[in-house]
Amino acid sequence: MTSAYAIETIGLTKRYGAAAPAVDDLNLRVSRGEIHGFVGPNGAGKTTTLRMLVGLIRPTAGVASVLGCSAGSPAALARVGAMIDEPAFYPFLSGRENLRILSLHAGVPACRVAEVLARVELAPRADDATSTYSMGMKQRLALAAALLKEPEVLILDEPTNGLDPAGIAEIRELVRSLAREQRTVLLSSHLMNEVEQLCDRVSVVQHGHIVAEGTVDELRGQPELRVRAAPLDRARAIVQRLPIVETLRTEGGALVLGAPPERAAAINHCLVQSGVAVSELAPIRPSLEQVFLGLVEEGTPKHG
Amino acid sequence: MVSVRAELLLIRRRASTWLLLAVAVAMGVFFTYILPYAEYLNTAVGRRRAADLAKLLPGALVSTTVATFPFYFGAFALILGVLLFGSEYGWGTLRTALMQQPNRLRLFAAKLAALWVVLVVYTLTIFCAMALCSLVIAEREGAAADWPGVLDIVRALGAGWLLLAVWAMLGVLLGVLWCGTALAIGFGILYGFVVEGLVSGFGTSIRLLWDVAHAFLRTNGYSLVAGLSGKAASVGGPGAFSGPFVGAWQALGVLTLYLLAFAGITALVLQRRDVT
Repeated sequence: MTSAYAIETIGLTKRYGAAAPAVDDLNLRVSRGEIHGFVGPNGAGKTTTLRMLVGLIRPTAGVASVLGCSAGSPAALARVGAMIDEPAFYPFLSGRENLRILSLHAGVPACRVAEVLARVELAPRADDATSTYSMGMKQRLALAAALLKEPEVLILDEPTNGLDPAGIAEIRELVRSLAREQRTVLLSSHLMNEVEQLCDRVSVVQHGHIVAEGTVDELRGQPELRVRAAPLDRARAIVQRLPIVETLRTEGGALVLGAPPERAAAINHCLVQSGVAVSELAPIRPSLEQVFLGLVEEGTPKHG
Repeated sequence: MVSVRAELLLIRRRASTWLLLAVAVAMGVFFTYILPYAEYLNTAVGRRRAADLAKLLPGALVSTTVATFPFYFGAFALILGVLLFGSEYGWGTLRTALMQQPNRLRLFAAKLAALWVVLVVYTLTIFCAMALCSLVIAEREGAAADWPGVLDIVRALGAGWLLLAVWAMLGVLLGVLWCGTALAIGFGILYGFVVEGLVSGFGTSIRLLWDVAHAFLRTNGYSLVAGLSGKAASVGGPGAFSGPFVGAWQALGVLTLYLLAFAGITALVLQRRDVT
């Protein structure tokens, strides 16, 4: 199996009995070297998809490949690091011992354990039993485990879950640094600001299939202009005639114009010349969260 | 091979591995040597039977010790087997391991190898503890410490290990089937005590059940033991057993088949079932 993508799924489907499929004909493409956000509401099929990518569960239909190898195969997993679901470690062993056991399973040298512990800044507590770890420390340990094999592809499921703000910032920086090393990162998250800050491209999944895909900019769409003016009817009549205004709607007592923000001064000039008092003229753009909520509510496909 | 090292490290560091052994040996010594010897001492001097003492001396080490393996120590091995895999589901660590070592059969083989090594330690420890008890009793009674022949001891150790391995493998299978420990241990003990015990018991009056009982773990376990000690002895107390018995070689074959079948079914389930 060969693929130009680091991760590719074609018609990936997972059914459990007669219930609606958890993942339904999912087509996901993640290019090499990018940080790809994988977002969706709870129960959308994100974790099920990630589990199929690492071979923990088998698809009912469709195929998935990672770095050109069948997903979940030893050849693929030798180049993939993953943290999926809640971090799970032997509670009676220290963080270092847990990683030592995993390094033996992975067939990587013991020296990698100290390296990854240092990278996730867990070295000072590495010899404590993991039963004494906070959720944030377990997350770091899970990330360390994912890095053991120096993977080309990282699959991260809610990596900042349970971390304090400082920890979240550190993990985000770590993910950025991993991407700078030309690693591909598939990041599942429901923190939209996290995805917005980190990801090059985003796939939005709902009811088991992708409903939107593109760069953050593409998904957020073109910026618009919000105009508060009086009288509003006269303002509407004037801007309606302007060729640079592509769309026009009224929202919360203001006009929202589909026009390039850099033409704001020209629009303002027209309105003022026509005797309209302009109290606000500001560029606006929906956040990824607003786009996401809109998609989830509507369930309408959108492709950038 | 490195996975075997990982599993050996893991099973060695688990407190339950050694706690189980400590409890098994302590209870085994207490019920097999200390209580019977106390009973012997509390019998009036004139009524003491030489045969009761003989069972506690080094010369009877093989027959006395190995008779405790088919069920008593087997129950501990079953618990050990359940914990080996059942706990992995409870902690979610099977998922963590499979993300590093995706070959499930290789992981299973590594766990099995580690389990079997630990069962060697179990078997040797139990025999050593029992041997020490018999030596102390011989010293106290001024009896000669006539140890069984090396070949007899080696055969007994091998049989003891096989019996533990079969029960442990049943535990592994139950742990995997139930994806946990509590139900698996419960059903395992229930099967050994109740199902096999009652069916064997009713088998004395119902011919069909008597025939069915020939295939049981305890039947074949006690039959193997009988082959080693040269006599088919009934066992009293909880988990009592009074037959049926089969030939020692047949018992050896059936137990080996059980071992392979339990391992095969476990491997199949592990290989095919999703890990969530």
